[in-house]
Amino acid sequence: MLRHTVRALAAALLLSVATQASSEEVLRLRLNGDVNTLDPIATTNFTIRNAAYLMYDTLFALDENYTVQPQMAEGASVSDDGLTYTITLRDGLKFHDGSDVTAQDAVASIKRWGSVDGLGRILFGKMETIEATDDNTLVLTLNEPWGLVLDALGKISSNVPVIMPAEMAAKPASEPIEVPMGSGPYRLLPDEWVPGSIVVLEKFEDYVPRDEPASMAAGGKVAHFDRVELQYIPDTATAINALIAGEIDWIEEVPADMLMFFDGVETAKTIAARQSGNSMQLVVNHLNPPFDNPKVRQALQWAIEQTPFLQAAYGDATDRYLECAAVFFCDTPYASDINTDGVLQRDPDKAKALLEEAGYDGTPVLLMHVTDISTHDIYYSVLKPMLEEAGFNVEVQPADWATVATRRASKEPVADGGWNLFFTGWGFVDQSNPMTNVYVSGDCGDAWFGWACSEELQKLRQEFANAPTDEERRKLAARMQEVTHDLVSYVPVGQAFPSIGIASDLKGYIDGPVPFFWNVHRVN
Amino acid sequence: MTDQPFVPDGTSLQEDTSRAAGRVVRRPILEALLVAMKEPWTIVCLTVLGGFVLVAAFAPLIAGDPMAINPALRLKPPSPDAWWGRDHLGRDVFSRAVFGTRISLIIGFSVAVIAVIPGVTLGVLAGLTKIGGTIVMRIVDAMMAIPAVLLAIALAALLQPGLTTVIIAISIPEIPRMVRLVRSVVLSIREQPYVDAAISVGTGGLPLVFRHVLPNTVAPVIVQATYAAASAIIAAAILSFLGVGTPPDVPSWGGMMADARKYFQFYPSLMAYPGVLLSLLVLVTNVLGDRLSDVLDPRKSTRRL
Amino acid sequence: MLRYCATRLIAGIPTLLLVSIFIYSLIHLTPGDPAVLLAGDNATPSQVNEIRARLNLDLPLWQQFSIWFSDALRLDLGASIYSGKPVTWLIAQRVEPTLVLSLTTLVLTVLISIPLGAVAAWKANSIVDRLCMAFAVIGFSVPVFVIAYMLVYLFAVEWRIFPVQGYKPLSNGLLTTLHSVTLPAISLALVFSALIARVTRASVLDALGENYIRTARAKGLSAPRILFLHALKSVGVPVVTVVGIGFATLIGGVVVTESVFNIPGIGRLTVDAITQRDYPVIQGVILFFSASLILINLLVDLSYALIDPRVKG
Repeated sequence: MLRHTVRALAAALLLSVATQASSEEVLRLRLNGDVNTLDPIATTNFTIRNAAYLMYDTLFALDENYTVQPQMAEGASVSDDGLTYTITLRDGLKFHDGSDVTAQDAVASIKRWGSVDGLGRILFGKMETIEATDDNTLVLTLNEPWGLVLDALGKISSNVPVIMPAEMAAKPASEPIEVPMGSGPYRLLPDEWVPGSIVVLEKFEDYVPRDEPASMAAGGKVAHFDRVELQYIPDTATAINALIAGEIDWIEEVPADMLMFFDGVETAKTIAARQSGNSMQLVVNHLNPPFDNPKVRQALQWAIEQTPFLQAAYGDATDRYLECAAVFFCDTPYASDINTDGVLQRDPDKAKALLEEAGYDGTPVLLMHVTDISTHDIYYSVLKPMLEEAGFNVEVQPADWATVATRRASKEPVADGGWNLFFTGWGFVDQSNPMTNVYVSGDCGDAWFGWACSEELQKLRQEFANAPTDEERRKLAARMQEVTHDLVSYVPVGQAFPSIGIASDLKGYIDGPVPFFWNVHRVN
Repeated sequence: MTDQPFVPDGTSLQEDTSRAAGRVVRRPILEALLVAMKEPWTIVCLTVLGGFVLVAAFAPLIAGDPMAINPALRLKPPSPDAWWGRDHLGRDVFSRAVFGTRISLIIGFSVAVIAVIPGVTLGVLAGLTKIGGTIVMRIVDAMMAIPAVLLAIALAALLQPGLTTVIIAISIPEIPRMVRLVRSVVLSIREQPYVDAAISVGTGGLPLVFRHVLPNTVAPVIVQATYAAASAIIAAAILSFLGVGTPPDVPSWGGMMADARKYFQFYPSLMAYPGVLLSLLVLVTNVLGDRLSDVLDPRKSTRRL
Repeated sequence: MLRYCATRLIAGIPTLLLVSIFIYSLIHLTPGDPAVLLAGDNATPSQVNEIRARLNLDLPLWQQFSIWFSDALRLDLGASIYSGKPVTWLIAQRVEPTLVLSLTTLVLTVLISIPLGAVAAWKANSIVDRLCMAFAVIGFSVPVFVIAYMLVYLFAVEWRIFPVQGYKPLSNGLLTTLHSVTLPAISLALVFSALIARVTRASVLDALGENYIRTARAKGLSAPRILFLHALKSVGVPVVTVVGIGFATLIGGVVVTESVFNIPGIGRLTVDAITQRDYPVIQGVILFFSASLILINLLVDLSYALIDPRVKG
């Protein structure tokens, strides 16, 4: 009874405060983080990458079969010796201020990207020159043939080689662009941008989509909304309630233990985003004791199993996670199950025996327990008893992610601000590619944090880059995995598929490793 | 309520010093407290507080390991081996609530003590010496110009996370309030002719402080410290809520509530248990503070017609 | 009067300088590096170093401070490390929601607490009094976020009367804005009224004891008349004092409610800046709050003269 009265009152109240009558179609999105810059070259942050796709365009793009297709490019031709790439731009490309996109802009943008991006640096290492021969044509010359040039330019994840005006691209990559401008289907409204709260974009009327149907990042990007708002709602429960109440349309990630919010709800639903899988890893510092000893690292591998982590983080949602020890992700071209026993199985006795063999003297293992990211918090809570049971002496030091992210760069001993272990996550696209997976570089001091050192890995990567056939690449990738797990450059702790929360009346959502919002429209 | 015993003058929180002048006649504080103890509500509150203290003291005998995780049992309802159910990591909510009592009491008590010691020292200094007064009060003004919660958040977020950090972060903003209070009491005592005389004939210094000044600050400081303890317990919960509170290896009520907020709609009890306990503890502390203020501060008590 | 104001404002400057030095040393002497956060999760160590150099984070502390301070004197508070936007611009953008929320809270507080305190005083020591004061004590014994979550659950999730989150700017019309801040304002007002109801009760009790009211009572004037005509007149001063003191408390509450209700105000700007270690923003926002606090205290002192002619300004 009370409920009915209240509902009636509510309806009346809502009518009285109905927002301005607008025929404007607005799409309201909640990304995982705040969009505090819109420069996807200055940062590898995935939130920024996702937002950037709305307003920037790329020369090439991956379609749903993960093959490279021209996007801003009309096409590309390769000389017979494989050293010269000629890329022409398609007609009618315009930046958001109305000026034409020229080949000079593209060259400047690619140079800026190439100065920071991992794959970009490899490309520039093999490149003699890149220049615009006229307003519509750019020419790349290599000093040795390389099969991945277009793959690099069509890179789907951070850093994405987006095209911006040449004067913006003249800024060093370490300096974020304050008022960014692109040539994508939506245009940024800088005056309505409130960092820490909201980014507003409007449909860019002069954007000319390709004729092909949309296929992941490739094909025609058709903007169906007049306005797109990226709202930063830090509290996930609040965001989900807002989605169900119709205040927003889409949530990048619904944590698995919050799927129950959607039970019996008609206004919104969740979709398993199988393409945007990610995995968590326990990264091991090879410079500091006790993990400077390979035997102790192997003990660590035997001390850990994935199930309890996944259970604690994902609960009953068993379809949202996968135990996986493949270095290049499971269900990918380079997936393999070679040398994964130690990773998948747990054997505290074996770990203890290895520790004894290694002469482990009880040197404490420092765990910087990250408290401000829920998954990390859970993973550290699960890890501590596992290590202790296997005979490690563990010292916990609570920290926030900012502190850990700072500290992980230090090569000093633990006592002087160094570290032993930390958890982090990488996405499917980055990790499935042996050229971008940071754990298989073996680059010692120049490697990613952890500084695992292996000449064989370095050599394997070289060979992989130059391998002519798929079969050969697969063989090399399997060997990389074998060496990586022997070396224990990290311990994988499982793979997960995030759930996307989406309003029921949105159609045309593209399943991909990155959320794309062209093609999405509302049906009544 | 009209015939409260006469007790020394103090200055309550919300009043300025100019009104604080009055006769200074010392009377055993204990006696005043004994009067207060006879009130039924005081007895109830003291019993509840005593209960919390007992639970905290004997926590390991009452409850199991508050940190033992068991992912397979996450979010399970109450059962014989987990009376209040289990949280998102399968930890026993009852055990965590019991051990959380410890943390809350430690935070409340430590903040009160930490605020009192420098607060009284600096307050007396500021009240008795001119130069000291100017310097101390400048700093106090500056610190009070930063909203307490913001200062606490900044301290808690930027220092190494830990229980000690939480206590320090909450205590530091309390100190200037204490300094102001004590200084105003000291200033009112200085106006007394005999104190003035003692200063002018040179029998000042430490004997003066110990004989005439400190005893008069006891009553208002106790009242203020009680309020500080109550608000510290809430402040700790707020820090946890904002993600800069006690670390995860400390089972605190605030931390429990912060963890529970994701599941609030489906498992309200996860937030209710620590929430009710926390509110109850703060409530009895506040009521005791009110009673103390009534018996120790005459102007407040006479006001109650 | 003008001269008094000017003196007070000038006296605030050394205070603000001390605040700045204090906050500056605090944020720079603690661990955590914004350059790392800025570079992104998967950045290489050399990317991080480039950014650190660009932000002057490799300079000695005193040098960083003097650069910052000389700019601050010219009202240039620097720019956010992340968005590159000027701090003053960021603050200006966030003022409206916080101001609307605070004012709505104040109005609600006065509507709740003054009648409550007055009735409690009038019926002193009765059951009514006890109930009112019990409400007041409970009000500041429950953490504000607990109240906020209960309100959201009932009024936004179950009954759908108010939005779950968010803030609608005044440009959408006053009613829309008020609708969006009702729940947060209620949760804050419940806490804040507890404080003011107690002070109101005490002041009204005082007033009821004064001669002119005793006379009025003896003359047989009705209760409400005496309360509202005479007694409430005298609560102005203490209540204004508490509003002044309570402003700092209110800011604390605003920080929390803005987080629960996702309101893009200054409180959230502060918390986000602290957790992201956006040094210039932390510095600027705390300075802003301190300056407003000093200003509010001045206004409080001035309003004594307006409310109560017996007090000379």
